[in-house]
Amino acid sequence: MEEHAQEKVFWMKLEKEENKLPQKKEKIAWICSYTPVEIISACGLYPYRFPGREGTSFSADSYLHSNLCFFARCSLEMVLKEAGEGKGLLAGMVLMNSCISMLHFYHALEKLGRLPFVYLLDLPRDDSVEARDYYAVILRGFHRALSEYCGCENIESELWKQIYLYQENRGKLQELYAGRDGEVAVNGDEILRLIKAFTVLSPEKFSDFFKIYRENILGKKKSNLSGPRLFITGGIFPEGLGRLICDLGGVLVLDDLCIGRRMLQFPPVEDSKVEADPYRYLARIYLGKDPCPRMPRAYEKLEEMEKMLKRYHIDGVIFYYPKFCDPWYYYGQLLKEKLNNIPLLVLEGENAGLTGQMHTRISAFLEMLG
Amino acid sequence: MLEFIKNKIIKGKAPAMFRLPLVYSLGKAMVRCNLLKFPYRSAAMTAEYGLGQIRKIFKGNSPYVWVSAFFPTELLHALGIVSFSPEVISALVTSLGFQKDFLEEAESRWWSRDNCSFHRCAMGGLFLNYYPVPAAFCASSHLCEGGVFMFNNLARHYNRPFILLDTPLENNANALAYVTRQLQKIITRLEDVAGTRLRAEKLEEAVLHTEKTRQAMLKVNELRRHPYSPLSSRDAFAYLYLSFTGLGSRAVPVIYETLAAELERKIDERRNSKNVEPLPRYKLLWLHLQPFYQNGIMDYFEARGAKLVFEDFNHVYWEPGDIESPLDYIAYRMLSHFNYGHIERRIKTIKELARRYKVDGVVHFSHWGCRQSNGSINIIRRSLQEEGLPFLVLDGDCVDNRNYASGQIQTRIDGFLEMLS
Repeated sequence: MEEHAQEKVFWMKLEKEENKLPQKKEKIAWICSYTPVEIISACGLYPYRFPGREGTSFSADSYLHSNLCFFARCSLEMVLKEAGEGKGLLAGMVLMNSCISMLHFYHALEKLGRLPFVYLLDLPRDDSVEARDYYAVILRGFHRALSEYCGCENIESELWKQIYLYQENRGKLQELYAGRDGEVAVNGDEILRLIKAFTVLSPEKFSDFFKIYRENILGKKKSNLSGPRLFITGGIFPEGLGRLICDLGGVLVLDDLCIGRRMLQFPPVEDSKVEADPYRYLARIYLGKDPCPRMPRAYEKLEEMEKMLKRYHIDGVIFYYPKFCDPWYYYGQLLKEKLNNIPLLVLEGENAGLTGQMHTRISAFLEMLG
Repeated sequence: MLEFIKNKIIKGKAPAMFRLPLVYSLGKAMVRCNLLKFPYRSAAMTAEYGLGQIRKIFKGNSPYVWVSAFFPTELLHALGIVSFSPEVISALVTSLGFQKDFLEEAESRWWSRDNCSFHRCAMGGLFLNYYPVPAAFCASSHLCEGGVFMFNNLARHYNRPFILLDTPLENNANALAYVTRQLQKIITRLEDVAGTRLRAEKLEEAVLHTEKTRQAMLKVNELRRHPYSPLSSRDAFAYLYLSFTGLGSRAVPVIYETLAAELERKIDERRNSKNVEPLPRYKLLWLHLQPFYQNGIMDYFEARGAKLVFEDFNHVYWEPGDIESPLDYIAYRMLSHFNYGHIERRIKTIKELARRYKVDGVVHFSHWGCRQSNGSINIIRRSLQEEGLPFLVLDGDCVDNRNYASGQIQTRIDGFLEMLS
């Protein structure tokens, strides 16, 4: 009972801390997990994962076409709404050229001129040497532009400090995924919740919270979870979908989500091989990380997907894709084709939050899995 | 004649018939003997060229690959690889009225109707065995992102190599170096497909053909500025095939040179004719592609005195480059595309074309599945309105006629032309 209360207090405190952030004016919003947050932190700003806005996008639709994904349109709606209310809570936004919707979102933001700083990073599609060389130059340019904007010095040692801090935190989160091919004590939803905190808190603050979590909560988890073992993958999930799956009796063993395991899976660091240039280093780790379907390499994973899922004793797969999202459409089609022996539930969403239909379909899927 | 072929010979026949090289030899002969009518000799030459390419594919003697729009086809021509553009073939299939089965086949395999119908139609044809499985799928991330994903997907499905040219957004030294280095790697992979090494002089020759094409296209585009130029967007779309798959080919500059000569002659004839033809009431610029099924949009415009004088897809977007450095030339060409990168590039080009062709308004056909073209359409509209340039958006679908609402489109055209008057 006491453990349960302790857990509750922890999550409440974490949420309180997260809610403080929207009031900070030095926030630089980002969306895609390929964003080099280290550079933002190194400039003394808060890299803040933009949550988007679930619901309608009436104002944004006068800038972005209705065949673009709802997330991009709703994100623009949120910027317009905040600017309209005179909140001006964002210092700026950094977008990646990670899909066509983000590119158009960038065009709209730039045209609107509601944010003081808007930047687009051109992300290559593979991790070849030439792509890394290209991207390192892009990253250097971004650091320069952001430093100029915030009037700080572009200090490489500070950037290295942030690189190590983020690396350390990613490593801590990655540990939570260890051993999940066996019995599972922590439901995946809890891990996703911590990853969300990692995307909005400063690395120092996140480190403090994680320490409390590891000592007071993780260490005391004893009981193993029972229920159908699930793997979830897909585009930007509606808020609370992970929780819903767990509440309905599923055990989220593994995920392949942008704001999930994929943002932790960086190539291994070998000290002797660390580049002297931080931009080259960042280019290497970001382009080498576990790819999203925008990257051709992501399709290679599909060949081994079923084998991997068997290793984790996965009973079912839940695939969520946002309507009008080409990268996930094409990837999902192949995923469906490659998964022959594991049941798959496909959910399509319009960034409208959790729907009754989703609830019903997930319940039925879990019932089927027994 | 075409209707006869379509209704009596092709329709209802098995894919096997489409795969007979003889069909295309016959087609070529019919074009040459003028049994199939074309408004221009150069259009007939384009058809002959296309049929020849398809014949090569079905004959199976030459390596053949699928290419997405804007892939640097100079590399393929230099290596003797035949290219097949799914966009072009879908347009052809649609103009013959066979797209329904192809689209349904793709949809039955969970390809969403929110995806580009050019792609769905091409895939459907491949799944139904109308086309042979290519040796590789070659895509460029230029403009069309869906094409990249589709090719990667199909490459996995058919266990074929996927060759990607990742095109950066900016056109600067860093981007040029990135593209050039990728081109070198792509050549090695294409050499495996072709089973032969690329000879430097062949690549130089291919790039020279592209440069000649550029010059001939400029000549054509200049002639189209003339008030008596008979070439409207309706006919000009037929030549798009050449810029999709023909850059680097010896035949293509000749076709454009022929078109320029034909235009020159026709302009002279009309200028000197005693029966003075009335000039159009409105001159319009067409953006993006047109629907390829029977539609009547162009007729509707023309019947109301509006002429579509130019279309952005035939705009020559790259400056002359150094043909002695073929890869630099190609990289520069790739990065110069007006429709790619920052939206301001596209807006600037539209405004330039509007000035050059002295148009009264701009029409954009919004192909439903094309997020690249439609995404920032409202931003374009605002920019053109600031210049006092009327802008009409026609929502529809180039291939899937289930997304075509003729009444709505006609009402919008009426409203637009009324506003111009």
